[in-house]
Amino acid sequence: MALNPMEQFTIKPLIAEPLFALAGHPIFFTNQALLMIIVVVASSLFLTLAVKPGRLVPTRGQSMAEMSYEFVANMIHTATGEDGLKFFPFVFTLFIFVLCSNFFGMIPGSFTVTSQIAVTLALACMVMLIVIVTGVAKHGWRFIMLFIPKAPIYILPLLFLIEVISFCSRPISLSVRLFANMLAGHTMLAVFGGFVVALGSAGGALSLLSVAPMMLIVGILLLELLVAFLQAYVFAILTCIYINEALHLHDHH
Amino acid sequence: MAEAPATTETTEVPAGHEAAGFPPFKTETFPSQLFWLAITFGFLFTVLWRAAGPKINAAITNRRNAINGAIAEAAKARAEAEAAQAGYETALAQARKRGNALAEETRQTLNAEIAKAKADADAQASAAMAAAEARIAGTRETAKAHVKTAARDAAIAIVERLTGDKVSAEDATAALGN
Amino acid sequence: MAAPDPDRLDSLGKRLAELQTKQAAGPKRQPPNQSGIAFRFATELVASLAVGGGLGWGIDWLFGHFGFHTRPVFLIVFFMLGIVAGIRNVMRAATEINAEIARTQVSETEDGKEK
Repeated sequence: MALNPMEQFTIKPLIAEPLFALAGHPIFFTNQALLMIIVVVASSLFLTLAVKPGRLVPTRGQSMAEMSYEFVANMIHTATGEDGLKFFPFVFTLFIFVLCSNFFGMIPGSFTVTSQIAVTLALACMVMLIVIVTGVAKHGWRFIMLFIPKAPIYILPLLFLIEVISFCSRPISLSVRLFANMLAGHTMLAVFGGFVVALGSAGGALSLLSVAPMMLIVGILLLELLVAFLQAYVFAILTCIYINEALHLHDHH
Repeated sequence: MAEAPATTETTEVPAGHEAAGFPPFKTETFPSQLFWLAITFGFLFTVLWRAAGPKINAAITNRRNAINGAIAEAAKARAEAEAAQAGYETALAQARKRGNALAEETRQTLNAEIAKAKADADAQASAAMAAAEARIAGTRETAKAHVKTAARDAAIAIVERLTGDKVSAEDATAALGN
Repeated sequence: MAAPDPDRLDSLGKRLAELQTKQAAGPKRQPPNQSGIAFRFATELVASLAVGGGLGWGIDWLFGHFGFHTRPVFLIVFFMLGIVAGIRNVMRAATEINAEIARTQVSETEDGKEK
């Protein structure tokens, strides 16, 4: 086991040579790539094979798949209304990807895909891109009204700037939140895991002491499970809220 | 990128305060990360959009329809049961009414018969009494007549003995009549 | 014919009515939890500060590129704007969370009424 808690976030090529170069950048097959493939293949297989449409009494796997589906569908429906449902495949993919990445990262020795700012920022930028494209496609130039609140004309430029900053901060807050949560949680787990290993290997009375951090680890593990789910939920619900704004501008409030 | 593990294993980095040694901020890994993210996310999106999503949706819709159907069926069965119960109750009430009516009718016919029998018996009795009274009266008349004749004959015989006169029956009767 | 039990029929009717309303209402929602809310506020604020600062720094850099040395001016101004935007974001997040809580509470009271 790694004694350095940051070790688990290191991206290592599993094949020493780069596969190819993309626009001058070498592309490696890394531990993170392996985990991403495992995550999407496992979740694809699970969500496809666990479900049989004709099965009225679901198995445990099927009811889990259906629960996740309905969870996301309800989330979109309450946040955006009927016309947001066409974004269901995207939000569902986002939710499943983040959720499974978070969960798979908790397996000892594996890698947390969502503990990389590049991944979370890319996902967040994808969300914002979809928001902008949706807004412009639906409202044309009136999409700019999203940045112009109702206010006296002389402070509008200032408010416009503030709204733009606020809008641009969204991908940052969205990605940093997920990234920081995963990073902090897994670092904590690694640190306490290190304690357990160190105390356990010290021998004698000290190895008895390792029971305390062990119990703490169980607690943190449970908390991390909750956080893993919660962060996937927050990522998805905020995506819905942003899509709702793009669809309906400010006329909801 | 290849030399990353060597640096992190030897140095104890205190929770990522050194940006240079902080793995998530190593920009040289970004192209690989983004490439694999695009591939895997695109794959997952396609699978969920085309295969898993419609399948799960079909399963949920099927179940909802089945449950709604079962509920509707149960509601129908309940309505039928209620109707059957209502029918049973009206039948019961009718039967009870008919029973009561029958009992009443029986009672009335019985009463009538009893009254008739009583009246017949009364009539017979009074007829018999009248006949008896008539007989008694007749007997009394004849007895009276016998007494009168005997008294006349006796009177005639007495008078004849005493006086030697023959008294006619009419005279004797007239004399006795006083 | 045995007498049907009216109580059994009534209880069946009640269960049926409950099922029908439940089926129409759909699944329940969970209210958001506390630590998630706190962390959300923190990231909203920090992200706006970072974007404001970054934007200001970028404008300064751009002007510097053309020979105008405005270095700390736009950085400071946009940092201030970032603070305001962050507060605005936190307020917006608060209304979103309130709406979420209100939604879950409304669905709970509706459930309560049905019983």
